[in-house]
Amino acid sequence: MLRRQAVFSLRRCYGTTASLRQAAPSSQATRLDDLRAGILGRTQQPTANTEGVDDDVRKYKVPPSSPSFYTARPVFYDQVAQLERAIATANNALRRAQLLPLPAFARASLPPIHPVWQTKEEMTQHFQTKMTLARYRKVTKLLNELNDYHRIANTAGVNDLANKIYSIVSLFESSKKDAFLARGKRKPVVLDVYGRSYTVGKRKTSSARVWMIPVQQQESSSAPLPMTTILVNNIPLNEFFPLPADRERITRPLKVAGILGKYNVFSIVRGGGTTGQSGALAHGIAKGVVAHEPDLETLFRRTKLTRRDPRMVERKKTGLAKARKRYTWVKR
Amino acid sequence: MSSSILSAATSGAASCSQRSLVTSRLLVQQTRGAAQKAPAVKVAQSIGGVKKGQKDKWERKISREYTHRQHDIPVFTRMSEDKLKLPKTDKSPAVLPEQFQPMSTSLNLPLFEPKAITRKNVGTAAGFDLTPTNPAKVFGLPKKMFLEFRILSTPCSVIRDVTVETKHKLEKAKDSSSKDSRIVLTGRAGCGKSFLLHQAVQYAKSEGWIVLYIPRAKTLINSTTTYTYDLRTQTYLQPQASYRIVEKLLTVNSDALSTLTLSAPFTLGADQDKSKVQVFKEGTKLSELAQACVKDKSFQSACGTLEVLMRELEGQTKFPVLMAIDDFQSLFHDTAYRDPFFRPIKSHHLSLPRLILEYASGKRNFAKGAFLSALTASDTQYAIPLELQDTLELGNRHPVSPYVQRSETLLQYASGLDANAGGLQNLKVPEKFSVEEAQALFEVWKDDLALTNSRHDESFMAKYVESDGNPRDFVWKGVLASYAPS
Repeated sequence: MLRRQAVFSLRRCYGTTASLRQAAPSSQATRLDDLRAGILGRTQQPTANTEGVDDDVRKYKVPPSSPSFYTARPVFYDQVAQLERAIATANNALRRAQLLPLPAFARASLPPIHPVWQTKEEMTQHFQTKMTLARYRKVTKLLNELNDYHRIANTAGVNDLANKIYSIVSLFESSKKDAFLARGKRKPVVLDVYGRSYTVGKRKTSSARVWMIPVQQQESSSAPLPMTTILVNNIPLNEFFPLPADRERITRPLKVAGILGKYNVFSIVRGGGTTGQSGALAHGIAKGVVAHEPDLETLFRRTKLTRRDPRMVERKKTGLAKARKRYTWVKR
Repeated sequence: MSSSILSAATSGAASCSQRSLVTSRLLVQQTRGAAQKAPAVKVAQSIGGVKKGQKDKWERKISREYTHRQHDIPVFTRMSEDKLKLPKTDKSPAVLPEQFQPMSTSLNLPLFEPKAITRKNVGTAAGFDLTPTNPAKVFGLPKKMFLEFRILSTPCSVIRDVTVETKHKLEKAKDSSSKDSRIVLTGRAGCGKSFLLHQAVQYAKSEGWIVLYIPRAKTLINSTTTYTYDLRTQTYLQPQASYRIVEKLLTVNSDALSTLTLSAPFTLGADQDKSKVQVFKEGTKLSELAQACVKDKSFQSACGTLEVLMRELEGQTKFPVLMAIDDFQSLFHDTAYRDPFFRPIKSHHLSLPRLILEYASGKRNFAKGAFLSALTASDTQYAIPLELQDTLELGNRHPVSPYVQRSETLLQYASGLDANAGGLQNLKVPEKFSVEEAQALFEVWKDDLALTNSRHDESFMAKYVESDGNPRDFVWKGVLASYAPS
């Protein structure tokens, strides 16, 4: 305001006569404006038609860019209005492309969507207003509808429309989307520089850390059949596990996959007893096999080899001798 | 045999077809002993009466129940043929298939003979001959090997590269003193030391050597035979064990012993009464001497005879002599025998272990021949002693304290075994089967119908991996102990 008064006074000093004369016919109107402005209590705007920096400021009260300027949450309502416009546009486009209304069978055949929107806190920053649950729900409802249109457009192959919708939708997607979608899934095992896989197997209270590396075959034709060597805590398998049952449990994943001479296994087992350690080792080997040969993943899942056996020792209960054993029943 | 079965079956069928109250009562009366004299059982009374026409059925039911309540041994009645679930026909008789009848399969294996032990034949199985003078039959076998041959239809073993190596060593030893060819077979438990020793014995016998094979040396020290103290030698003699050895030596090597003669006169039964004394002149056949000793069942003369025989065998150069001892490490332990003060007797104070230790340490030698021995790594009662572990450089599983006492005498016997000082050579038997050798053994068991799993390739590879190539584990805990269904 101070700046305006200064400019105004300077203009009065340095204003040209020509400009003043030009302004003459409209001077009455401008004086009226001035009067009105004065009655209303607004500051004097320089109404003379002078060239200058704040031309529009002096002449007009520039209307705000959007009507939501008069609301308490302009950014929020702007964005919501934009989303609604986008929805309307997309809807129209899809109708024109005869993709809407979609019959039930087509809708059922669409791929499932897993949108992960920003959290309320993240949206608060985006919309520059506190996101209450009601506002958040309103926004996510719109986003879901837009996402649905994106899904339809994507499936139908209308790529430009799909990309445009996605460009809007992606603004509201959470940065933690990948992590969220991958929750509960197994971390993929990566082979290291030497082609080794490192996996962990568990059973009861035992754990086995298993490294598997492919057997290096000799090139000569008279080379003997390659054979798997399994070392457990740096001891050969037959010395560490004397029972045939334990040994067979350990080689079962390799037998099922049919890769008995393909990989060498080194493992460190800890905890539990013989059965637990052999089960843990078998679990680790199964995971290692899947790491080296991803095609066998479904087979191993079906044969429950990659399944961590959930059976653990049941706790003793009060009033019982052991987990299930009851005390001898006495009649009196 | 089949006709008798048929006739018995038909008679059984006849009796069953006539099943009625009468026969059931007969069965009741066939029970023995006190039940026959027992008072007649009261017939039960039904409450509420029996339905019309059901009286017969009711009485039969009651009688059957009473029959079961008798605790006497029932008489066996053969089940009728019509009760068989799978009826007997000419095409499918109710007997085991021919291949499962005992003595029906025979492994067609090449014979284990010296010319078969070549590098080309490594990884093939060969069967041992079944003549009555085979050292395995006469001297016996280590227990695990004996059990294995009992299951197999013919005793056999796989020719390995160590077999060829041992053959070469024995070929070199044929013309030199046994002092230069004192070998100990060492290796992990179950790697095939006893089998290799047995193969060497078979080879030597085929080559015409004189063979003395002691498959279980721990029987000499576990107090299973008699012992007496001899004042002259100041050792404990083992008459029974010596007798057995003389007997077996004679049976196996009778041809060779009949060509060898005494170099000095010998009096048999010098310690006994004058009537049983026999004097053998210089030039008598050794076989005669041995036969005389064997005839004397009192074992008295056995120790002296054995001593003379060993002296003669030491001196002669006509036939190379092989002394093969299994369970060699047991001779370095205290025996289970007790002296009059109830202290355990040391092995070198007993005649036979002392004899063996002397040949092992080079104090006594055959002019031509070899001393071959094998350790048993899996015996917990007679573990490999520290003295042997140090001299043969076997390496210790567990850290050994320098304060652990080592016997001076045993060290003396063992120090003569130091390979570097020209003593006992340590022949390390490989820990693992090679894949070809394992394949040969697997095929032996497969041809002998020992496998339950029809997926042979997979089970072979799995068993090899599980046993880590260890021969004993491969057979006993692999092939023969598989849980995998067919």
